Amino acid sequence: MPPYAISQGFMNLNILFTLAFAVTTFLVSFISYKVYKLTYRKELKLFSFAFLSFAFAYILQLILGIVLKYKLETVVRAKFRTVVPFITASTFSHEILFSVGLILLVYMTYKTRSKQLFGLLLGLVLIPILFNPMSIHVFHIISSFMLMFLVLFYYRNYRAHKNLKTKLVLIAFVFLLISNFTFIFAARQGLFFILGRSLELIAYVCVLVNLRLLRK
Amino acid sequence: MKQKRESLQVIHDILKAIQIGRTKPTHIMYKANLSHQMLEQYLMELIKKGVITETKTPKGRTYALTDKGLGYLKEYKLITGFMESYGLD
Repeated sequence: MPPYAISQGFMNLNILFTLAFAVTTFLVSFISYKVYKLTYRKELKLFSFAFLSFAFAYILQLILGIVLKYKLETVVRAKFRTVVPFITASTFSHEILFSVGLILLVYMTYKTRSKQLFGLLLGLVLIPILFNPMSIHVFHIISSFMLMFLVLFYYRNYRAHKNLKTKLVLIAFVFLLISNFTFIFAARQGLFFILGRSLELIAYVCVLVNLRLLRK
Repeated sequence: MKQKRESLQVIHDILKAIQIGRTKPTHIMYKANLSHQMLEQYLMELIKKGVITETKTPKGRTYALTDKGLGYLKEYKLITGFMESYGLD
């Protein structure tokens, strides 16, 4: 969570949201790995790593959220700068981990085993994030772009298997795309951050409902 | 894409045939509706992955499920549902 101007009240809620996102993504990663151990399909291992990467990204956000809340409550604004390096490092790590997760998902949609393609995707996505001073904007723009590809992929998947489970996954990725797009404007207006987080919550509720249906 | 889903179904059919106890290849072939060559390929793959075990007796070969094989049958709905949901099939 970048240090956007958001209310103290939402900060508490945001910590709970982030915890829910971390648990959900970890759960998807765990189930994917479990299915991989039963079927030995390589794509399931990659999928599991992708969601594990998301889970770690959210855990970092969670730690950042807790630190920010604690610091804002206990220190005067003048001392706030002492946590700036931590905010920068954790925000940056979150961007990298989340991007790696998305790269893995996009790579999988090509159903190829080309290491060159994977390397190319890594470079094209991570270099602009690593070397751009406005990395948070670049991160959300590139993430939105990758999510667009994923939405198209899951739309095609839904067309091929029209049922509630595939529809839920499609809806989840549509909401993730919109929320990521919303985050681009969050630095200017804190309201966009709240909106983005709420849309993200809807996305992960869809993922959870899908997991519940799989267990029925 | 379709081929992979079919292979999951074939594995399911093979394991279902073996589930009843020590099973001979002819019975599996009949139950899973496979050619002899295809069956041999699947059986070799499943033994390698530790899903089934092979026992050689004077009367011929028999196959039995391992815990992993039982797990596959138990979680088959989850496997296919998960893979279909995320386009991994």
